[in-house]
Amino acid sequence: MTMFPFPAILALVAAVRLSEIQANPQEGLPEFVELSGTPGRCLAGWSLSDATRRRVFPDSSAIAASGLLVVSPDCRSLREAWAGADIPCVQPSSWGRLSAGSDLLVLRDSLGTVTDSVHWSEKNWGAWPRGKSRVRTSPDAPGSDPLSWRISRAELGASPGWIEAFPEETGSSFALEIPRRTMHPGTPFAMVVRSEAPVRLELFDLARRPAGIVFDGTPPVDGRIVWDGKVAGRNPTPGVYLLLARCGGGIRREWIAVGKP
Amino acid sequence: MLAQSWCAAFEARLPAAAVEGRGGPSVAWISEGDPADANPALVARKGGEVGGGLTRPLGLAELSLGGLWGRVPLGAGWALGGRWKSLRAAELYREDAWGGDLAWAGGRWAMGCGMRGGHVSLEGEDLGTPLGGAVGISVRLVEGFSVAGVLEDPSFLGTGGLAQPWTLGLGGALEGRDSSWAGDLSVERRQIGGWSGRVGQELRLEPLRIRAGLRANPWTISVGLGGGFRGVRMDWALEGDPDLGWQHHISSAWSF
Repeated sequence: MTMFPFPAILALVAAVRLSEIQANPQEGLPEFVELSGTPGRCLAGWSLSDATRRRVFPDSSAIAASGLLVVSPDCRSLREAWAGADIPCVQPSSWGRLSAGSDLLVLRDSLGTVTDSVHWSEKNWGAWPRGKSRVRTSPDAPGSDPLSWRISRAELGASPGWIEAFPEETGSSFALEIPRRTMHPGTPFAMVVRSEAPVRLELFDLARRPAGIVFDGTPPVDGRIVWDGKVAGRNPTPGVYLLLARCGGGIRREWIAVGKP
Repeated sequence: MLAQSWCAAFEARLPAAAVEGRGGPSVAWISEGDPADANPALVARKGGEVGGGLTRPLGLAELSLGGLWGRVPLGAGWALGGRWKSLRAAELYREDAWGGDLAWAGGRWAMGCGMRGGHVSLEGEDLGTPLGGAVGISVRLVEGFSVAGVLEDPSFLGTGGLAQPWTLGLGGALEGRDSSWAGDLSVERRQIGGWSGRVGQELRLEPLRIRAGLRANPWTISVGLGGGFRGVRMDWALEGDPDLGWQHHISSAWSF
């Protein structure tokens, strides 16, 4: 996966996008929303709205040279938490708490035109892990598609104001990504398995017993695999399972909780 | 593991490090270090004990598993045992399982039966309440050598259509006359998954315990260390395999 957003690419992207959201921060840390766009672009009068509140950006708002701008109710705490990092951050006129369970975030320009939006809910995205932000995988990825976002792997659970390096950008082209950690047999479960070589994706229970093969072959170009929720033609029984992807000598692991059909 | 095999839920074993260091719970009698999780008959072969343990299944940071166990002699060869364990997966999934055993031992023989139950929920949705039972027997053939068998056939009451595989376990254990070592072997036949087995060894260099074990189908290896003073024991074990991951167990128990 080409991880969003390199400044050189950003320069070609006219639209300002939501690129990272922290709706469930650790105790004492503020929420934030990260935007990406062309460096230097003025965002005076722009706003972020959700179901309850409209957050208007101050006049000094502009995309930083990194191609990013963080909007948060407490920029100072954010910078302190990240050891005084020079995070490009602005505080809007007001801030209503985001809901980690379900919320709709709409980005509008100074004329009120919607430039981007994202809608999340526990049902579609799974529970929002405490202290972890969600990072958009690509500027073109649909905002409300759970596969367009993944959970930050940064040390402090988020990467406000900088580009987060994921394993596939650091030399490995083999990756397994799941949009949420819950699935219900019979309901399609979309995953991303990135590999140019054949991959075997297996399900194991917590006693390490194999429960079945989910996928065996070469993933499509976009890596998107839709699992019908069955193994060996049957619904897996409820419980916690390990999804294990093998490719050559490489292994990727993710756990999922399986519910009722 | 015989006591928790109703479905994918309850597959994580009770986190008792003294047991996991030897590759898992023994079906046959060993004088110490076993919460009698595999065979209800063993409850009557041991003295009183309470204990608890913790682990992270498969070494996954978002999963946590804790458990408590205890048993108490009632006199005239009778004994009661109980255990409880709780698995959490982030804030999404929760399962609680319990077991209660009643056993009797006299002469070479010990027999026991137990009830198994629990509760599973995912994102607050109730997935059901399994309820089942187990029967077991243990025979001491000669001093230091015993064999045992156990059958568990849980039923499921509730919703969700969980699998209900029965499990048959057979095992033997040898223990040195001076109790300086113990070794055991167990085989299991599970309705789903076929045969599996394990072998465990424990070396006792007072007050230290050094343990190793091997399981087959699935293959895992384990090592463990323990130590105790005046009936209080602390144990650690590492078990797993390179593909699915390694997991640490820590536990403590008080024998009386």
